[in-house]
Amino acid sequence: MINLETLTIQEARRMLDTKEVSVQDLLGAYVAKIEERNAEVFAFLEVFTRPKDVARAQKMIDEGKSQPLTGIPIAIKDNIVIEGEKASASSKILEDYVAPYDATVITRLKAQGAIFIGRVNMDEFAQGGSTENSAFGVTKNPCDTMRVSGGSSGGSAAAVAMHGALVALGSDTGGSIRQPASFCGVVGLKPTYGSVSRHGLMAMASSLDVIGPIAKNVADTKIVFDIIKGVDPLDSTTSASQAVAGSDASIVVTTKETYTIGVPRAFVEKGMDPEVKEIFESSLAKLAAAGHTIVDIEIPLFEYTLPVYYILMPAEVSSNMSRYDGVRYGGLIEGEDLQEDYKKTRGGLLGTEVKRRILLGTYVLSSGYYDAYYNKAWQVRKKITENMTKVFEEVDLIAMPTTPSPAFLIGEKTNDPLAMYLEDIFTVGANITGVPAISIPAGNAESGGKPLSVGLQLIAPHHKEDWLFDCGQKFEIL
Amino acid sequence: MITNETVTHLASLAHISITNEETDSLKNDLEKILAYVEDINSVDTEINQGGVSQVAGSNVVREDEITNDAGVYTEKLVALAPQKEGDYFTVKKILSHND
Repeated sequence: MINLETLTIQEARRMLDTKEVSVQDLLGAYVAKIEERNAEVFAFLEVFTRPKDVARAQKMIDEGKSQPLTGIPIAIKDNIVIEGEKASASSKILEDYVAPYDATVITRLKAQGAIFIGRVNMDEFAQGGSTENSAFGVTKNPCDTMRVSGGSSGGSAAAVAMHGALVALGSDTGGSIRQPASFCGVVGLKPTYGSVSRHGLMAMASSLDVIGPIAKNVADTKIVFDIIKGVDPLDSTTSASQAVAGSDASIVVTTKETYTIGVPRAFVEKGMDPEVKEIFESSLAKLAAAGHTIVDIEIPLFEYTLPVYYILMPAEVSSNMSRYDGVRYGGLIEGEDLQEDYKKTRGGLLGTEVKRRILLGTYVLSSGYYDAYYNKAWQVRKKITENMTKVFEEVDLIAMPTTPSPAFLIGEKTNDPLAMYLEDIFTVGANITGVPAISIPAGNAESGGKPLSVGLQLIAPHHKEDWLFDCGQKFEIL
Repeated sequence: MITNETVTHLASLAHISITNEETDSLKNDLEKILAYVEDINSVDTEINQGGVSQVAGSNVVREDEITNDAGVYTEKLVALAPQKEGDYFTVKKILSHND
């Protein structure tokens, strides 16, 4: 028997390579778990049947050519394209869209012989923080199905938490990997902007979007990140990012025995739930007891990251969403003339939150407001990034809670968009400044006898993911 | 000030049809969100610091050369279109004979 609850990539690798289990056995165990739990949780939109992939992975193993991810079942967020499979971004407008090519991350995983087990639910076009904005249904939190799984990568986090996949890919624009990982009690990595190719990721806010892994532990997120990262001629930000980090394609980061961890006290203490605060403080105490140095820091202007985000992100959304016009792909609702075709298609097939962000973005980009909002936000973004760089001259890492509160109830925030946006308060900073961040389960708050997971977020300087993995693994065993 | 007319105008610019009901709720939402994000105007950013072009980093461009044979993706891509004719996407007539 395979114990899916405790299985890690390394253990699965050992079992597959020693022929203790076959690729089909492992996949079958996960598919059985999905059949058992998905009707309730609704993490998966579709379970793929890809026998050729299974046969190929088994052949690689049998020939002694296995790679770290050969035969490993991975769930894919519905905004990352796989040739020949549907990819809808959980939107009605792409309900029947079948992708004609592979995203670069998919190409890299295919080379490994990884198994794409299915596509998982999300907020429509990654716009939301609860997966309640999916056109196809809400993904519930596997730990407490009255509560949200978080979002926008709620399906990815729930898939891993319900043991429906060993790992999952998500995307993070303002916290969409870390927040659901925190809510579902799993690990989520938002890599450095530009370290992972976005080719084949449906664009939401192009200056912020990044693909990253969600897994049960830090080591597994590292294994996946090491495979998917790297320069890609099809996404020029990957080469720009590497140019900043140094010309060498493989950046060597020296890990440390202990880390100096900064805590922006004044910033995090505003609005943190008492139970989150308690878990956060105890995490810091554990890290200090293990020999790490905890210091109070201030990141000037950091409180403006959320307003900056809610100007720049909708501006980019309004541009990126213009491609969904019913002409080249996706759904079409016909009107009297071409203008009416556009309006009815977009009005009828895009969800409320997507429309809200498009209009907001159209407003902040319109003449007369452009300087006051969009340009101003970019200037503040630049200042915050400079301030962050200065802070990293003093500390190795920054610690914050991932979210101000544990998973909220389904429906609790759907009528108040601003309340939903405030969920992102601790996560958007890493996107605004482009640095990597990881959410690691730190403890459980309790509600009605059910444990609600709370995550610790560690943030590192650009391209120092290895510090997150190293310190994260040290934290995991405390 | 966001009015219902502002919302209707924005929707028209963005090519999105919205109902009267949606207009009312979008007006309220946009007002609240804009009031929140307006905070950034209290940050002192030096004049002439420039906008996006000066802070978004530099573009990395590749050589402007053709990387695939003409037409190799045409069939695959046109197949995805809701309305097509041969190798073309089709849309409703934009200019009528009298325009």
